[in-house]
Amino acid sequence: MRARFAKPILALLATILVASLLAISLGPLPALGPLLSPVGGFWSAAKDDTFQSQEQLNLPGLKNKVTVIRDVYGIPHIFAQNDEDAAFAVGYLQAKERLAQMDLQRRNAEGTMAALVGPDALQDDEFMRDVGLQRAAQASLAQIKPDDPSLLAMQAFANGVNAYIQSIEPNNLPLEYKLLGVKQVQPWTVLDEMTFAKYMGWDLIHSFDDMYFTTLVEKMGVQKVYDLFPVNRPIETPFIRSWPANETPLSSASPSPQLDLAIASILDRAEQANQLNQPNTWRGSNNWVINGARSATGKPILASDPHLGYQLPSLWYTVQIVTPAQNVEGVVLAGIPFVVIGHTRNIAWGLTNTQADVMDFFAEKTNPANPNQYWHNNQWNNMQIVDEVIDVRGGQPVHYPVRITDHGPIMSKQGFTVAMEWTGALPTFEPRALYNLNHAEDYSSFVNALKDFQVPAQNFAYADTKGNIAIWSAGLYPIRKSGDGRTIVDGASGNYDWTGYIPFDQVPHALNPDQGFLWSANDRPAPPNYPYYLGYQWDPNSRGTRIHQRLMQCDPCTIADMEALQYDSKDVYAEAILPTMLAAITPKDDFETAALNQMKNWNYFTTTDSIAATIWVNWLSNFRHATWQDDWEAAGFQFNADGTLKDWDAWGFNGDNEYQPPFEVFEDMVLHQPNSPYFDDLRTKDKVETRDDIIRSSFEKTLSDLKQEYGPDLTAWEYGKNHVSDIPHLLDVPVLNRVGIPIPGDGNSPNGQSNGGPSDGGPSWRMVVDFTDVANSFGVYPGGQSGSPISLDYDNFIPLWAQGKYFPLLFPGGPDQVEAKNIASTLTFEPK
Amino acid sequence: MKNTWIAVVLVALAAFVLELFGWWWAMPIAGLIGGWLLRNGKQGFVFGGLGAMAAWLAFVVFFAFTSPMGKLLVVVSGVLGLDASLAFVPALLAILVAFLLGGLGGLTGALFAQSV
Repeated sequence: MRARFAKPILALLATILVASLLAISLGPLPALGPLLSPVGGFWSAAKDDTFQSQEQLNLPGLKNKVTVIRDVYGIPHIFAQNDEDAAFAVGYLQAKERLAQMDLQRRNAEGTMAALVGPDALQDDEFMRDVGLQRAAQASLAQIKPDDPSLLAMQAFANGVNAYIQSIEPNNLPLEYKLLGVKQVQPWTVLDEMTFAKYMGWDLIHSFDDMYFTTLVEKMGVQKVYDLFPVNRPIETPFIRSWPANETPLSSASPSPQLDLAIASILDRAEQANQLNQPNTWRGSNNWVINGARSATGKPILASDPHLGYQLPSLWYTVQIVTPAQNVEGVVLAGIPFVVIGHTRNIAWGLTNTQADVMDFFAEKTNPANPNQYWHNNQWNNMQIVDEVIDVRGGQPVHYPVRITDHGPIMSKQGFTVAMEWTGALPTFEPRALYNLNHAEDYSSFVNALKDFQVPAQNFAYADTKGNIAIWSAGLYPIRKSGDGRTIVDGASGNYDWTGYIPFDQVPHALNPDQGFLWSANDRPAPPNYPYYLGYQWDPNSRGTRIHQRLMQCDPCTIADMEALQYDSKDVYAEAILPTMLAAITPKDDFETAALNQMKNWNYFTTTDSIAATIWVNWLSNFRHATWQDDWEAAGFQFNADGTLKDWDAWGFNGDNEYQPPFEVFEDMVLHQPNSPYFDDLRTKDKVETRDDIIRSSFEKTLSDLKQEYGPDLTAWEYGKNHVSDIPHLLDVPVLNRVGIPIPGDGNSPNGQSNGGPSDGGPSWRMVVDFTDVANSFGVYPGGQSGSPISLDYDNFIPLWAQGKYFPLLFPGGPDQVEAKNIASTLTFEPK
Repeated sequence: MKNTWIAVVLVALAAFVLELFGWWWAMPIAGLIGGWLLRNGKQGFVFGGLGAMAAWLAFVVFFAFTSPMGKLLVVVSGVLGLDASLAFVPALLAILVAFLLGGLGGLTGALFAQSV
C-alpha cells in the first residue's frame, strides 16, 4: 500500500516544491509565478493608465458633473462647478497615472516602507519616525477648522484617489506593485497629503551640516572655521539689495568623544535612510521677473525653474483647474491637490528654496539615574515617549519608542543624546497657502496667502497683469537666544534656545524695484545688515550673477530671452577667475599649448560640444582640492581615493561645496590673495607654494587625468560625452531609468547641473509666463504625465527638456474653448 | 488519441478558468484532471503541460492584440536583467512555467490514477 502511493506522493511533493519556489523572490528578482501569471501578473500593466478618447464615469462623492479634457501633451484641463469636485478629479487622475509613485512617496515620508518591502526598510522607517513628519502633520491638521475650504479640498482629493483605488482589481495594479508582489493599496487620507507636504519641507530644508561644522570646530578651532566659512561671504550680492549689520558668533557644544559618537550615529542613520546630500550633485533653482518697462511685450514676464533631484515618475504633474472660484494652471506634486508653481488669470508665481538655517541640534544633558529625563529650564524634565508601531511585511509589528525633548526628537543612538529642532515639526499648514494662491488674483491676496507658507521657506517671485513684480522669502525663520545654530549646541543651559520667529512683514521682500527686475537663485536673500540671522548655506552667487547679467543685457527682454536664460550654460565663475588661472601657465609642450588655446578662446559656455568646458570643470575641481585637501588632512580628516572626504558627505544643499569652503571664499583668495597660506601644500616640507604653483600643478594633473580618460585627442574631450543627466526611476530599476542624456550647464550656470560628471538633479520644471496673455505660457519637466513605463507619456517631455524646449500651457476658460486638434481624450465624471 | 485530446482540452479549459481568478499556483490542479484521465505518467506530464500552456498562451495572444505588449515585454525583460533583444523571454518563461506546473499536476494525477 505504502509502495503503491510512493510515486504519486513524490510527484505531488515535487509539484508543491516547484510551485513554492515560483512563489518566492530570489534575490533581487521578483517571484516568477505571480509575476508571469497572465491575469495577476505583469501583463495587465500594459493597460493600467490608458485613457479612452471618450469616457464617462459615475462616481460616488461628486456633487456635480466634471469634464476633463486631456490635451495632446497629456495635460488634464479640469472643468468643475465647485472646488471640491475639481480636487476630487485631480485625485482620481493622479491616482490613475501615478498611484505607485504616490504610495511610495507617502510611505517614505511616513516611515511605513517596511510594511511594503519588509525588514530591509525597518531602519529607514525608524529614522523617519524619529524625524516625525506624520506627528507634525497630525498636529497641523488638529489646528485647522473642519470646514476650512483647503481641508475640504484635501478630503475631496483623497476621495478621488480612493475612488480610483476602489475601481481597480488587485490584479490590475501598476507594474511597480507586481514587481513588489503587492496586491492591496492602503486608502489615501488627508494625513497622507499633509505628511507628504511636510516631507517636501524636510527634503528642501534638512541639513546635517551642524554635524560637519561641529567637527570642523573641534579639529580646526572656531576662528579658522569662521574665516573659511563666514556667514557673510566676500564677493556676494544678495538679491534684495538694501536692508538695515548683524553678525552672530559661532557657537558649539564642547568637543568630546561622546559628541563625535553622537555625530557618527546620526550621520550613519541618515545615510542609511538616504537622507544625506552627496558631493557634486548640483540642483540650484532659479526664478526671476521683469516688469513691463523691461519686457518687449510691455507686460511683465515671470520665469521659474525649481531644481530638484531627478526622478521618474516626475515629482510634478501638470494640470489646469477651472471652477467658478479659480482658474489656475501649473504643476502640482503627485499626492497633493494644489498647484505649487503656476499662474491664475492675473498672477503668476515661481519658487526657489531660501536654504535658510531652520534646523538646530542640541546636546541634551540626561539624568544618570533616568535616561528618559533631561535637564532644561533648571530642572529635570521627562521626555515625551511616543510608541511608534512599524508594520513589517512578513514579520511582526515592531514597537519603536521615539524620545522627544523640548528641542525635538532624539536623533542619536550612541554618545551624547542629541535632539533635533526644526521648524517643520511645528503645526504649519502650507496646503492652505497653496489653496489661497490658487485663488489669488492680485498682489494683496498673494501676500495674504504667503502668511501660511512657513515650511520650507521659499523665495516666491511674483508678477501680475497690473504690472507689479515682487519677491517674498516667505517662511518660518527661528530667532535664537544666542549663537547662530551652525554647530551642535548645549541644550541644558537654554542659552541657545529658540525664542521666536521673524515676523512675516519683516521677512526679506521687495516690490517693484527701480531696476525693473527681481530674481533669486538660492543665493543670499538679504544684505549683511538685515537685522536677523537667516543662515549661511546659500548657493554660490554665480547663477544669480549670470541672471542679473542677462537681464541687464536684454533690454527689452523677450519670451525667447527668458527661455534661453533658463537653458543658459555660461559659467560666470570661470569668467571671473579663469583669466587669472591662465596667466599663471606657461605651456611646456604642444599639447599644453593646444589645451590652453581651447581655454583662451572659450566663451565660458558649458555647451555639450565644448572641449574647454571639460577642461575647466576638472581643472577647477583639482585646483580646489589641491588648495584645501592638505589643510583638512593636517586637521586630522581622512580622504577616500576619489578625493572625497572620508565619512562625510557634502555640506550645503546641493553637494556643490563638497567639504570645502564656499566658492566665494576661494574666488576672493584666487583674485586677491595669491600668497594665502592656504595655497601652501602642507605635505611639502621644504617649499612654500603659492597660488600659481597650485594652478600649475592642478593644470598638469587635469590634462593627465583627461588624457587617461578620453585619450590624447582633444577633439574627443567634448563636454557632453561625460556630462549627462541621469533620471532614475523611484525603484531604480535600470530599464525604467533614463540615463546618459547630454546636457549643457554646470554648477555655476542657470541651467544648473553637476560640475562635470553625471547629474542626478537639476531643472525639475521650467515655466515662462507671459502677461501679455497668460494663455501664451510654456512649461516642461524631465519626465511625462504618466507613471506607467509602457505609456508614451512616461518620458515624452525629456527630449524637449534636454533641448531647452517647452510645451504650451493651454489655458482655456471652458471645455468648449479647447481646439479639437489639441484634444487627446475627454473624460466626464458624473455623480453616482 | 481521442482521450489525449479530450484531456488537453479539459486541462486547458480548467487552467483558463482557474487563471481567470489569477490562481497561477492552481495550474497543477488543471493538469491533474488530464493525468487522471490518461493514467500514464509520461502522457500526463506532456499533455497536462500542453493544456495549461495552451490556456496561458490564449491569454498572451489576447494581450498581444489588445495592448502595447512589445514595450511591456522589454521592460519586464529588463527587470529580469535581460537585454531588450531578449524581450520574448518573459513570454517564453510564462509559457514554460504554465507547462511545468500543468505537467507536474498531470504526472501526479496519472500516478495517483494508477495507484488506486
